[in-house]
Formats: sequence, C-alpha cells, structure tokens
Amino acid sequence: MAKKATTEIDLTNGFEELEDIAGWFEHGGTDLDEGLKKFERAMLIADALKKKLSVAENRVKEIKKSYASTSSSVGD
Amino acid sequence: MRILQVSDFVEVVNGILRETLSGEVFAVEGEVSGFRVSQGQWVSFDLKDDKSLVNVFMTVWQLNVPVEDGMRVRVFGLPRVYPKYGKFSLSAERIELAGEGALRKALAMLRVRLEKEGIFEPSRKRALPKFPSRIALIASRESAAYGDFIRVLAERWGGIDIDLYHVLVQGERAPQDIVRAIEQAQDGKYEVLVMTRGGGSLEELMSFNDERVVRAIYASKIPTLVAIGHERDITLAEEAADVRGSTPTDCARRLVPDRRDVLYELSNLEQSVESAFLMRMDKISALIERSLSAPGAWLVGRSADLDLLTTRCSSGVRQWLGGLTERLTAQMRLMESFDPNRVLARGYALVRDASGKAIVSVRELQDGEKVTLRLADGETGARIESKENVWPKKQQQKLI
Repeated sequence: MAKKATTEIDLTNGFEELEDIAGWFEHGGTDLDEGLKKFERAMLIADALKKKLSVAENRVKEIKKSYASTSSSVGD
Repeated sequence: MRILQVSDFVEVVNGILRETLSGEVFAVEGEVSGFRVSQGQWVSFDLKDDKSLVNVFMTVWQLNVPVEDGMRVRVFGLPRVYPKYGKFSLSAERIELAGEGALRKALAMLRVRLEKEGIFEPSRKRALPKFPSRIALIASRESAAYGDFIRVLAERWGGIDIDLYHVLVQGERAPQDIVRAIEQAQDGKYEVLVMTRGGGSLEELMSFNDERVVRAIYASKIPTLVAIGHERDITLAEEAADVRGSTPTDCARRLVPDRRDVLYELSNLEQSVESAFLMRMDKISALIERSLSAPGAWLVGRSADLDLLTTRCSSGVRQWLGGLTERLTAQMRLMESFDPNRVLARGYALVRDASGKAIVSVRELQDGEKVTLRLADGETGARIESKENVWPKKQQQKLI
C-alpha cells in the first residue's frame, strides 16, 4: 500500500484507505508487523480526516454567519 | 296587299311583340322541362303549364339561380321569333324561383356544389378576436335585428367602434347590395365582419343563400360572423362564415364576452397568479434552506462515517490480535502435550543403552546388559538379568 503523509490525505482517498485497512483486519492477515503498521496508518488517517472535517465545519459556520449578517443588513 | 319577305315578316312580328310588351314588367311562370346547356354558354328549356308550352332561351351568365327539370320558375324577358329557325321563344334576362319547393331544391343543389368546392370546410374557419375594437356591421338600419344586436353588444361590452353598412336584406337587389358592402369592408380597418338580419320566410332569406353573397363571405380577408333569421334557419352565408350565430342576439354574444364574466375571470386569474407566485416563493425558500443546511448535514454524515471506520479499525485490530493469540495458545497446548517429562511423571521410565539410544523393544536388550533408567526426578543405572516374557509380535500389537 502506498504510504502518504497526512498533509497529502484528501477526504475521498482517506476514506477509501480506511475502508481497505478495516477490511484487511476483518478478513484476516497474519503478518504482525504489517498489521501493526496498518493500524498505525489507520489512526493517522482518521486523525487527519477528523481535523479536516472540523476545519470544514468551522468554515461552513463562518460562511453562513457572514452571509446572514449581509442579508440582514440588506433587509434593514 | 303587302307582300313581305320572310325576314321582314319576322322583323315586323318581333317589333310588334317588343312594342307591346316592353313597357310592362311581367314574368312568365311555369314548370321547367328539357333543361339543357349547350357549348357551355347557351341555356334553353321549355316552360309549361297544363295547356301550353313556350321555349326559353338565355346565356349561362344570365342564369342566376340553379335550375333543373320540374322546378317552378318565373322568367323575366321578352318573347321573340328567332329569325334563322322561325322558332318562337322567350329570351330570358333573369329567372326567379317560384314556390318554396323550388327554392329548397335550388338551395340543396347549390349547397352540394359549394360544399364540393370546400366553401364550408370547417378546417379553414378562423377564430374571432376575443376583444374586437372595430367591426363592420352589414345589416338593415331599420331592422329589429340591428337594434337587438347593438343593444346586446352594449349590455355585454362597451367601447367598440361599429361601422354600419346599411343594405337591403331581401329582394332582387339585396344580393348585389350585400356583396358590395362585404367588399367595401375589406379595407383593413376592421377586425371582424358581422352580418345579420332577423327571421323571415325562405324566400325572404334567399339573398343570404345567393351564390354571390356566399362567395363574398368565403373570400373575406377578415373573420366573418353571420347570423341570419331564427335558430332553425341556416343559410349558406352562415355556413360559409367563420362563425355562425343562431340569431342577431346570439351574434352579439359570440362577438364579445360579457364584462361580468371577464371581471370574474380576471379576479380568478389574479388569485391564481398570486398563489402561483407564493408557491414559487415557498419553493425558492425551501431550496435556500436546503442549500444552507446541506453542507452542515454532509459534514455530519462524513464525521459519522469516519467514526464508524475508526471503530471498525480499532475493533478490527483487537479481534485480529485476539485471533492470533488464540492460535498461538492452541499451538502451545499441543506442544505441551508432547512433553516426555509429563509421561515420566505418571510412572513411566525411559530406558537407554550405554550409547544413550532409547530402547523401545525387549528384543534390543541382551542378558546382563547395563542400561540407564530415566524417571521423573532423575536417572539410575540397571542391569538386565534375563529377557523373560518376550511377547509374540501379535500380542504386542494387541496390547498397544
């Protein structure tokens, strides 16, 4: 599996990679080292995606807030 | 005594006939027999009653009504002797149909002929404008039909410019009068041409069955609305018109809507426009709401997906590690069951010869041979005294 730094993880690919890793564990590999590396990778991706979603959520709130204030000033 | 040449004689007779009858308006009425048209231009037939018969001669252009054998007609013209054949005949200038039967028969013939030409074709009928502003009205100024039409029109809708083309609506000159009025109204000023007259006998309404009138209506460049007589009377002019009104009053109803109906329609329209507008606004508002909440909802969905995947990875790694540990434990248990010390602990001994090789058969031992015994807690030396009780191979297998 290609390893990517957290900065390169985009949402779609991140989710796909997590799906793959979950599948690997559920369908059984036996290589302990590989398993541990995969788990570490999964946690890294999950953390990165969580941060991205959190940033996006804040951005949505900010945008809505800025447009809400614009429309109310137009209404005035 | 005068001696006359034949041609002079015929000329004298014709002169007398002409002088005697030319000052008087008369028509000869009788039944048509032997009607024929020769060379496409000469019409001749016999006009007869119970006792007498006279030949009638005229051109097809003078024949202004459809004629066939058995019809009762009135012939207007002068009698003369035709010089070349010495034949006495009536030179007709025009013919009128006499009696309702003849009128109906002629009407039916004309209807069939015009129908074949497509004069009454429904597909070429034009619709009248919904709110005409200027119309040409062809009617008799003195008729009740004119009064009825104007009154009902004013009751229903006002503000229409009406130009009246006063015409004769019955009699010999009426068709020409009507045709002229129709032609004059074609100057592009009008949106509708209306023609009406009240009820009357078939003979009185015949001007509106006149071929010239019917063709003029058919040729009108502006839409035509014609209402002649009562409901039951249907003239050819009405059939050729774009729209037929059954009576002069109905004619007015067909020309304009009732202002009360229009006001009611308007108020309905206003309401439906308003509700359509409000519905549209609601839709737009809902769309805006959805657009505003969609990014948030999408992010929540993604977060939930991420939680699920993270949980799958965490529990997956736990189960996977557990599975590996279980497999290892099972292998270890199996290995333990093979440990020889556990067998010795149950009272068994391991016998080895001097070279340290494990002895598994009595047959490998010699009398007096030194061996080593390994028990659970240590080793000791021993000597074989004798090999008694060597079991046959079969029994040995059984014991095992």
